[in-house]
Amino acid sequence: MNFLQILADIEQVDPEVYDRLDSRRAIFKNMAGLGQKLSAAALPLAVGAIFNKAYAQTPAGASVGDVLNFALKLEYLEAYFYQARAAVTGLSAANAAALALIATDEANHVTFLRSVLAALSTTAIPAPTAATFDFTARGRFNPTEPNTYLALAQSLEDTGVRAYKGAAPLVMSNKTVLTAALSIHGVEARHAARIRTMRRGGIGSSTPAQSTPVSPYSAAPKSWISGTDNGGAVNGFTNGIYGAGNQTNAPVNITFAAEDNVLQGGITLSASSLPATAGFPASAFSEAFDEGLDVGTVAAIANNFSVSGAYFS
Amino acid sequence: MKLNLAAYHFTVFYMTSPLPAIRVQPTPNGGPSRRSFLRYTGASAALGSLWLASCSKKEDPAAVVSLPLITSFTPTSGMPGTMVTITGTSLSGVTAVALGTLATTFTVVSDTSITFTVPGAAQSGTIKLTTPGGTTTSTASFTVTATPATAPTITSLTPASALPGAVVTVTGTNFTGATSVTVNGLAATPTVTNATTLTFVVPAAAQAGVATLVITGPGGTGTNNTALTVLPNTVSVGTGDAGVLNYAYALEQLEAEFYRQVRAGSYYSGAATAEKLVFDDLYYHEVIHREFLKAALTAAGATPLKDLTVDFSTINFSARVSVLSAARAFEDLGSAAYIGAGQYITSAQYLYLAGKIASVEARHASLIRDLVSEGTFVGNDVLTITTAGTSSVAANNGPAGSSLERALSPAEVVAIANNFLAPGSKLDVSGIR
Repeated sequence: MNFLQILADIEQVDPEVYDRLDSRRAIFKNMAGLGQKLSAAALPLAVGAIFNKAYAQTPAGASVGDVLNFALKLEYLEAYFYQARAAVTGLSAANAAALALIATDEANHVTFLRSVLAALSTTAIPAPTAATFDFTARGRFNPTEPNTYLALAQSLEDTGVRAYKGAAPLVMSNKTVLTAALSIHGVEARHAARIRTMRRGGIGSSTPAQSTPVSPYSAAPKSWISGTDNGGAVNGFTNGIYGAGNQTNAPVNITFAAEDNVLQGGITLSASSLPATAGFPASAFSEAFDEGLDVGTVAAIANNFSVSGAYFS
Repeated sequence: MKLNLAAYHFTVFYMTSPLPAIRVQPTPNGGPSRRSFLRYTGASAALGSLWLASCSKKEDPAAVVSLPLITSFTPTSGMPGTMVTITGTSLSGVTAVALGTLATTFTVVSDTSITFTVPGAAQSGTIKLTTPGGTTTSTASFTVTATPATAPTITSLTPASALPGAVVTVTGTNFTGATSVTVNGLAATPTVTNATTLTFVVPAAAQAGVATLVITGPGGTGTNNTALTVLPNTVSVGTGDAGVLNYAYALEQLEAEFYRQVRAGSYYSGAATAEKLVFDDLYYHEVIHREFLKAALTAAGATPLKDLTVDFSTINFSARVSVLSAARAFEDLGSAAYIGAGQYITSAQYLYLAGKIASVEARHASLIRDLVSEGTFVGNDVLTITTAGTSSVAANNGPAGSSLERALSPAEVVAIANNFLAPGSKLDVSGIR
């Protein structure tokens, strides 16, 4: 373990670390002197004793610019996906109109994110072409079939919501970027709810909002995620969108749980811990909160639609 | 010539047995008849005939109607400007009212009631009513009192502590003719009951704390010696991350109570199954949010806000359109609030938790808007599609064509939310910055 390099890395986020170490110089000297004799198992405990602050562990190299560029890739994915709606037949006029609105939003998000990167004097990723993406997921789907198309749409939107949610803490140092990220996060949630509503009503419905959900919610979902939605629109393929993420390098106290999670901020959501919720259906507790997802898991999901399989990595 | 039969008295008699025939005899040699009788024909030989015996002209009908009678009047004394009510009989025909020798304007309310206003130059005296047939004068006199030469005095206030918008009763002296009441200089609407009692409404903008009350009357101004405490119209959410959590907690209280009332209303009881299920879920979710935030505040060692009193008087829970419109307003507002609040949170954990709730509110908003009108889950009113954001906080505003959800600052949110919160429960978010 390169202790000095760790200190140098920590100083990047906590310039005051050396001030605190000064008061414990004796310990530090002992550590340096014993550095080669302390077992690897003992060192982490000693380190913890010196540092009285837990540091949010961001993914290596994840700056605000990196997060924005990753978000931009996701927006390109969605923008091209909604451009592809032209090949889909069998949708009601109402459903087609809704897809057109969503398409406009995603294209606008691409433009906006590029402008933010420019304002930050950060180089944006080069614009991908439609050929970058494969909405058959390597031959698994026919995205011109309307039910399939909507199933893919729900999957992309729900993934987008989880991605922006997980990324928000990573950009909180810039209030403008944070608020923009939270705004887009809200828009993706509105899209996701609409797509779910459309799937619930059926491809040919002109009044999807009037439709009734059918448990276990893969085919006729609610407008919000209920538990893990029985694996999502394509159980067996979309399960990862509603499952747990990867906690490695997750910021402290940021948990990328599965969508059926009911443990929030150390509080279990249940009638026993929240008596005013006595009698509520069990599904309500997980529905009331959406979960975030780490960049790595989002990338893995999105890469299903990358021709190279690695565009998002 | 037309005859007004109503102006004549007729005396008639009714014969029940036939009379022998009588004829008018013409005079011999064609001269004028010296006697005239009512002719009758053979028809009058029938049983039962009505005969006119005599007629005479009636007196003028108006001259027969009774003179007005004054039974009483109230009040029996008062300043110029006082309205006096006369009670009596046969008052409908009154054409003039005088107090002493001075004519007054008056109103005939009914045959038993007349009102008049004491003129400015009036002197004490009896009340005289004039009709075309004569006059009637009251036996008692009305005493005209001078305007008070002394200023109002304030003895007591009930209640002594009141919210803006509440009514306070003041007891004191010389209130007659009082023209203004101020609370810490703010104008309040006074109602004078009598010389020793008036009421006023605490102004909506009155600051919390001990207030100076000033009553101005014809004789001068009077100030309170007994304290009037204006209760705070607002509750503060506090500062820091706890302030943001309390702000969210307040909004969830508002939404949860709204959906509770929706589910208790008649629109819901008759609604389609699909809509009932939606409102059920919205209720469950908002209560869970509310209870979670309260528990999280407590766990963090902060003090949750009190239970707020709502004001849904503008919402009709029996009408689908009103309920859906209000739901849409609350969900869009909540979504905009969470987006605009993130920048004030310093803890990454709290920011992440707020984000988990925020996307659910956006999903709610999306579906409610589609229930109002299919396909309006997004629109330029909530997204910056064709126009830029307009919040006073620059970070909240996406440019035109960015399709960002419009964020609102805490102050902008509560300006709307406070319309649905009663005095004493209105939110003060000035601590969030």
